[in-house]
Amino acid sequence: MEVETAQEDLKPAPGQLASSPFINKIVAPGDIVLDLAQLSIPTLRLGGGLRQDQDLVIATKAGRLKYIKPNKIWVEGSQKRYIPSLEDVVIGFVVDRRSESFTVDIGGPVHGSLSIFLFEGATRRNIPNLQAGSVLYMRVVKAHRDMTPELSCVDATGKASGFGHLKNGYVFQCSTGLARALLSRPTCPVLEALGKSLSFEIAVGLNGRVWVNAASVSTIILVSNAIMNAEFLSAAQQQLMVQKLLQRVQES
Amino acid sequence: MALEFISPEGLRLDGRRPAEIRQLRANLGVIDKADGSATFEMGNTKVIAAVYGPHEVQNRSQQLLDQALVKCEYSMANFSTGDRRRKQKGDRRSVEISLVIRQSMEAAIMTHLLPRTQIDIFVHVLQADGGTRSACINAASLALADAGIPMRDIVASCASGYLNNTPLLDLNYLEDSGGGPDVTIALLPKLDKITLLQMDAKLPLEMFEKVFELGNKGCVAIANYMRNVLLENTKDLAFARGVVKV
Amino acid sequence: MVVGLSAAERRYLTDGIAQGLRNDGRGLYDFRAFSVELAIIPQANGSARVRLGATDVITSVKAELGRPQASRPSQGRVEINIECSSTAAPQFEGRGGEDLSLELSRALYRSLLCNNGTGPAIDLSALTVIEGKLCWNLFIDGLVLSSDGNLLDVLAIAVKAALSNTGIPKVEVTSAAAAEQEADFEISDNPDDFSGFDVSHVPVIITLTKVGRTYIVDATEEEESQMSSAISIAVNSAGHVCGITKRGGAGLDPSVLLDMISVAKEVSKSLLSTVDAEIMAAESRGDDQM
Repeated sequence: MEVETAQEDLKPAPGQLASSPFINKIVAPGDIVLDLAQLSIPTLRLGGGLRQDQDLVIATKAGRLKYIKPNKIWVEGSQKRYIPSLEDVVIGFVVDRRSESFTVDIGGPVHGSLSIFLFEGATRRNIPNLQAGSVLYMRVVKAHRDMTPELSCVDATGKASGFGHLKNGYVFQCSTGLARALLSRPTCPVLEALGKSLSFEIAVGLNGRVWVNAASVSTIILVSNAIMNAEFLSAAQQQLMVQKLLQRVQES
Repeated sequence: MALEFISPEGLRLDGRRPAEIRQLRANLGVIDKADGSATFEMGNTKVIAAVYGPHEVQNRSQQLLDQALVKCEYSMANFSTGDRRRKQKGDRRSVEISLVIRQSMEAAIMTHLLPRTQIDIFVHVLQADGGTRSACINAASLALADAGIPMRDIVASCASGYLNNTPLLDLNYLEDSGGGPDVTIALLPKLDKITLLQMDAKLPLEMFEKVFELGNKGCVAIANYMRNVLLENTKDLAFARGVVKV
Repeated sequence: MVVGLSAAERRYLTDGIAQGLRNDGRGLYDFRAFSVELAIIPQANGSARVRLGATDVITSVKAELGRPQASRPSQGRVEINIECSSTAAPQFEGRGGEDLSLELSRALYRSLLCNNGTGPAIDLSALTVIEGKLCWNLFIDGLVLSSDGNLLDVLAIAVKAALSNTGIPKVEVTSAAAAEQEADFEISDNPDDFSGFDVSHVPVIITLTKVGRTYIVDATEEEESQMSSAISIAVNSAGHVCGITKRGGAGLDPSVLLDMISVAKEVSKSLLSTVDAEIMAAESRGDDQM
């Protein structure tokens, strides 16, 4: 196994960021990841799960320390509770309707707000008809800890491009880590295996909500259970699990 | 005749050496519905902790605009002690321990990152054999880490005492009720900061230094154990998700 | 976490149940898989932990010697107390879990012992040591650590498991003194010298939750949030109905009620055998460890 946990005595090394001994290792809160005084880079961009204390960069979450050239580093972990961040795709449902916006539950610390104009083709006369409980696929357009997260059902060019009201189907909750795995490329093995023999629609929000729709209820049940089961399985195990589920359904 | 807490061979009632911690055991993610949860065992003391949040503040009047509201509730199961007693929630002792746990956790949580939200920490003692407040702090700390709440450091706690002219680490119930002092410490090990210090009974100052030193060492050892449990758990998750190739 | 369901989920849940499909793939009358662990609280006379799906409960049985009540000189006493830990849900914080705790305690007591103590589960007269003077009192404590629906059924299984694990020390009466005097007795301190419990009569509880026009067994928390009413039926190994509790706000058609009871009787057969098998398996695991 290649995952290594950062050793207790590991110390930040001088030189380039990429050569830091912590990159791609699992870190825990309190671990000193970098010593800026010893680094020879002009700017560094810190993502989630890290904080700076004078010259030290310290982890605040348990997870894997990730690095993208030239200077971005962050801690990637899996948690159940979603914390909104910019440009995340999320699934939420309408809780309340105000004159200018919808209040949407996205499973985060506070409800999000979705302007009635941020739908494709929406005008003051053409307000989308959404009731409390309607399920929406959205992206986060404003996320700041002191403000209500703002959501949008259009992409940057004003087109719907998949965002909007999700009709029918079933929504279930999983961890944020699994949601990220489902959205990542190459396609997650469980989706790959399911897609080979079943036809269904799926929308995954980074907030850990997954929406599934298919022609028959039994397909929806199978797909959602397969995804929930996949959480703690390796790629080969996921394929095997899907095959077993399919077999069971065909037999009965 | 007072009870002999240390045998002539230098062993304690349960066979430990004076500066030895009881067996530790911890598990993460034990409660499905909670955002973070953990059990923590120190010998026969066993506690379970659950963290819910950050979520919207339930009581709007308590909302803090610049930081998260941290709430904590400590309770004991009816069967947790030797003689069964029906305990009401919210007696003076539980309220004090709730407060103590909350304060130690607030020192570690980066509350300013989550303004206008609430974090609930619930700890429940399943078996009590001395050192429950330490075990509760350790469990709560792991549950917070499991919930992915940003923390400055992992809080670790341990008690130490002084009986039969010897400083002892991690007292069990018998030693705790032996009449000697009981020093409970909670530590942010990487930052080397004390977040909780409580002592009862009396102790000469030079002795206190030794007992305190011992407790500190205990915290560091426990913190190392907790860190390893947390790393193992995170590693398992990353591995299972296919984030890492074999 | 508070179950917040979107309109689509709600409709999906209820429509699925109407078609005989549930969102975890179970049939209407299927129980989730459960596991039993015994003797997990060393200071109790008997204890068990039962996990059914994400529902997780611990029960312990503690026996204490006491004086029988004057009105029932030849019977011991049994108390059942259930506590819902706030770890299971933030709503249980403070006094928030008290209503549910009390409802569960009373429903269990009614099913296992009935209000006058002549119930099917425990033979109270077997708890007497000296008539009118000395008896064992049993304190059954339950703790709900994590809740994903169907608490009552799980607690009943856990009580049955804990009782099967309970050993009561033998009491040696040294002087059978005159009626007015206190009796002298000795509790045997030989750990092998205790009497166990026969739990074959202890019933299981089957809760049928009515969602729409259909009723289901072993509802999850999500399904419970859509229920109109629920009936908890205690059934023992002889197939006798030992207690019924109706919960929930909506009314129930009497003819449906009789159907529900016959379904519960049917389900209880397989449940009882699974419970017995799980307890046996847990016992043998415990023996291996020793």
